[in-house]
Amino acid sequence: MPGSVPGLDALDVGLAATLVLLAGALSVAMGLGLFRSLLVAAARSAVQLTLIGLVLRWIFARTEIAFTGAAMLFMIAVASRASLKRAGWSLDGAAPGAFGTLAVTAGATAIAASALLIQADPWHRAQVMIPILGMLLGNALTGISLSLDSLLGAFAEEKERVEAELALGASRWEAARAPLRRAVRRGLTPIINAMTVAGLVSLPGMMTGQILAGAEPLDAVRYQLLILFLIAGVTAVGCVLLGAFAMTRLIDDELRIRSDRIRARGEG
Amino acid sequence: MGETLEVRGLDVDAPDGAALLRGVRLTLDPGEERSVVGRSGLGKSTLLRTLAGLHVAPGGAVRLGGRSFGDEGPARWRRRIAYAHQAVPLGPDSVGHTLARPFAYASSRERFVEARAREGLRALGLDDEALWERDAGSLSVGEQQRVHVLRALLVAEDVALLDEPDAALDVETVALLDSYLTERRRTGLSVLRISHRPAPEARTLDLEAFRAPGRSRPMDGA
Repeated sequence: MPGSVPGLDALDVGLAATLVLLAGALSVAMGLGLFRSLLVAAARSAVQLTLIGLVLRWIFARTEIAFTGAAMLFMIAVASRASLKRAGWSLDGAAPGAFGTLAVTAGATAIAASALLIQADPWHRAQVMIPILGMLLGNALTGISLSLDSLLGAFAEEKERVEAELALGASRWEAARAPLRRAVRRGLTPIINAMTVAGLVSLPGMMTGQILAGAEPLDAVRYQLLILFLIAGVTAVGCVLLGAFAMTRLIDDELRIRSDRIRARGEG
Repeated sequence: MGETLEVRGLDVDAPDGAALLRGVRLTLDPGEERSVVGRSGLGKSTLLRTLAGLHVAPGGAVRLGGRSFGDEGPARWRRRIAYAHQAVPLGPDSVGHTLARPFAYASSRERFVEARAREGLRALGLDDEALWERDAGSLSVGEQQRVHVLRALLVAEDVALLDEPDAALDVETVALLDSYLTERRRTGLSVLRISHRPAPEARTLDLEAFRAPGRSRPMDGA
């Protein structure tokens, strides 16, 4: 068994931070105007990650299911907000749909993975559940928001195509079949790419972490595969569910397109 | 087939809620054709969209053989009174599939008859053999418009609402369209079309008569 690597102290991190200063110096020398942004971003990363570390330490020390559950709900809420904000269009009334979608896909998958596949002890162990959910949410989010962006874009920019089908007696699903298919395809592209190049371009983050922490590489591979496969499933089902929910908002019960519910996001 | 379309006291608002038309009256008998005329911005397209139930009317009644949009449900209503937008990009799908697609919808009561669709393409001056398998999106604007209009004419059970069906067509093709419409009307289909060409008064519906009070004449205003 390989041993785990030694821990880092604050001085190690401080030395690494000098590289940020080097980047800042380059910015000044080349007149990029990024010196401030770099420092602020670096400081933010330090503060945010330290806080999250403290929160995780606090949660991991507790075995009550309520704490884990509350943390999961909070994570899902933040992720669902982010998934909507990343799309180039906003859709009125989409928030409950995004939350519900991520809860029944990522939330349920994290629980199943922890309890049945990883067989954590207890099954709701925060140290397993929270990182798994975090990885599922973080990755599925990319696909789901791309997919939503594609769907809303189709309704905002090519509304007549969908309406032309409605005008000939199509139901909601018949009219939206083409844009919905395109949206799900687009949402699945990132995870397909990620699986295709996994290990070739770079080692996936979780695997890297486990190897640094002293895990046997093939054990780390198994965990990484598990996560990739779960992400693929969560993304696919998530794109379809959120797409279906969005459709019920975009085409009302009288089968009229509700462009009034879509708004383009301002630049920046 | 074909039943009378009766429009009584129909009010039409713009998508932004501004009043466009008030108290529109129209009776369209089976086999009849009427041209909707009036200046730009008066609400010609919005009227057709309202009749198709794609747009909400603030007031008035629209009946087809005595039945309303609510009686029929949206999908069935639009089989009976089908609307074709002025310009809709088609594809990516073959011309044949594009024409057949609406007949796969649950609201369809008829099976797709390929021979009838091919005959329609030929009547509108299109080579059905050459076009059938081609991506509809790769056709010229004028060809796409004909495929799009033909689709509505094949689907419509009682009324076809055509928004400037001849906008992208040359004079000879317009004549082909007119004679195909005449042929379809013999089967009882009625046609309400937006047109900029002069037509006998009895065959037009001039929207100027129904302009919402207080609304500036479109040419003076914005």
